[in-house]
Amino acid sequence: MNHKSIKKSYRLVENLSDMAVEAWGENPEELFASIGTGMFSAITDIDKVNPKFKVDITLEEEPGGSYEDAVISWLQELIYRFEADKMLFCRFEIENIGLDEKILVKACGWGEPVDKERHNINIGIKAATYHQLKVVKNQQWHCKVIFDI
Amino acid sequence: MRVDGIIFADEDIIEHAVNEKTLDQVINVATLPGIVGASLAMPDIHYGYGFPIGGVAAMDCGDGVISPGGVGFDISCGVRLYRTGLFYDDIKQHIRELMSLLSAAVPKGVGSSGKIKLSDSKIKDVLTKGAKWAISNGYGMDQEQEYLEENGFMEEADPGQVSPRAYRRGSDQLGTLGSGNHFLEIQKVEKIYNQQAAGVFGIEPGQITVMIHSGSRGLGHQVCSDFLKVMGQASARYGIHLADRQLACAPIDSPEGRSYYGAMAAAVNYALANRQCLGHWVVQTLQQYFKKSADKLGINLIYDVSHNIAKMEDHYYEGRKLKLCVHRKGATRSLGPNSSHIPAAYRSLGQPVIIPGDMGRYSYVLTGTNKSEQESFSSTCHGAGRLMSRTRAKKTVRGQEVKDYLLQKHGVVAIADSMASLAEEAPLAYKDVKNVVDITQKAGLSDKVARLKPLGVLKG
Repeated sequence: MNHKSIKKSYRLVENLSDMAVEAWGENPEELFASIGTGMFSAITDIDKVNPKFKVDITLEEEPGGSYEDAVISWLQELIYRFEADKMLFCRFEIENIGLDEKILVKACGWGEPVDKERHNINIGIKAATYHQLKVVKNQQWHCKVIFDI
Repeated sequence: MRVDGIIFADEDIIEHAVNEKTLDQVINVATLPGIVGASLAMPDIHYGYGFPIGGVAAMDCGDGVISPGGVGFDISCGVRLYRTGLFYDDIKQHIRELMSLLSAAVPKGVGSSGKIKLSDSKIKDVLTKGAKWAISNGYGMDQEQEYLEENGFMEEADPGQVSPRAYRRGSDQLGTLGSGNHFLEIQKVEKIYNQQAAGVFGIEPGQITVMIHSGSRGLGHQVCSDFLKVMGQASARYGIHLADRQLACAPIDSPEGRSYYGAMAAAVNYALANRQCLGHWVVQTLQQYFKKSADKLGINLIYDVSHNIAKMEDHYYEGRKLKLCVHRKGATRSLGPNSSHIPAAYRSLGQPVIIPGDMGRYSYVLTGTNKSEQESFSSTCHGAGRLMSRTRAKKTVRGQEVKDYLLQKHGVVAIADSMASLAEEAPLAYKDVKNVVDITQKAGLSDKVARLKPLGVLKG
């Protein structure tokens, strides 16, 4: 499947001093995929990121946290992959989110390492913050994450 | 609120703080256990996460808490300033060339890798010894150590509290400038306010200085993120009610509190070593360009100071000497004359305070005062403070426009890794640092010594 054919389910929104990403999905899995993709769309033009590699991402944590905790853990993991492995992702698929299990997130991401010739890196992200973070379910699952940049 | 909130500001700054809801953050900090005196904010106050940027909170080491949010993600982000024996006339024809040489010499930009690759055991050394590690490995001059805050390292550093992930992120980023508001500037001394202090710092009008603004990079960000999680659980366990999750904290005298302080101090040491290495590339570049030794060029470090840090300090409050953990998040320590923590050469003046401005207008050198001890636990401002979000700045101007504006309006040559970063950091996105500094002067928190004008800027 071409990542460009997937419906965009995030947007970058202005925040007082930094940057925020708003994302939504039919279920928590879609929401987590959207928020991850949204974050990378702030870092670079993800249309220029080729889904050359499939990377498995399994996040283990103590059970019992909230969806907000899981969102922060997930995004911190992706920030780490970007900085430590220089990976840019253009799409994610979340297999499972288990708040009460040892494996918090089981996912895979498609992307490639940063190529300075092709990828313009727009911002450096220090961290995803809990500031005003709420994961809510109305018609859809929704959250807005503010990043310290 | 356990204590008052005090903001050093004029009406405009207060109005901005009200609109931004930064006042709420000052109030939230005032609810933390063990806070002494008041929840303080400097005139460069702007919106942070949990604590405001520009926030200062002194916590009693007996019953107070320590909070990663009171230090920020970029632990020990700070600034160092070199003087040179060069004058404006010596370099005015060479600025463009010098800036491109510096750009080649200094790794910069998001996730940039440096020239130094560190094994885990070497990182441990950096985390333990700070700038001392860099100097003893050939990155800098021996005499610089005396002019680093606390001689360039925090002895409380505990590298064992730093996670493997932070080690990994720190493995190739030592000696890198980074991105965001970090920069390297060639400046000239434009105005002297205090002749005697300027004489001691060895600066006079027209003289060339170099300023470096950077921090602990990904290693520090990871330490803060790791401990926000630890502290989130600890706050609940110790029954601490949090007005905002980013205020997560633990008692200073608790396993979590001690762990964070040890890890934070280690990240401070990484930042100090980072600025030391960056300074080394700059000195080396100037030496190569002018084909003279640092000695012959008259290059000397004036001072290096951190803006995002928590420190155990002795302060007098209501006539009693207290051991306090002073959180400065976007604030500079501003010790008055005669403190033993000030380099001997500057002791009669007070601690040097270095305030970077935006890329166009000016930066300042000040000294700490005795009054700041009474008013702000020896703290003052740290910079201009943002006026506009990065997103709005990018919508308002393009990077190329900022580059042209800087050259035409201010005569500043700007070189950047990313044009987006230039737009985000446009001078229009910042308060006028002159106003911020004047307020600290009027409040007696620090004394102006000199104003510096940027000539060339290097951005991540």
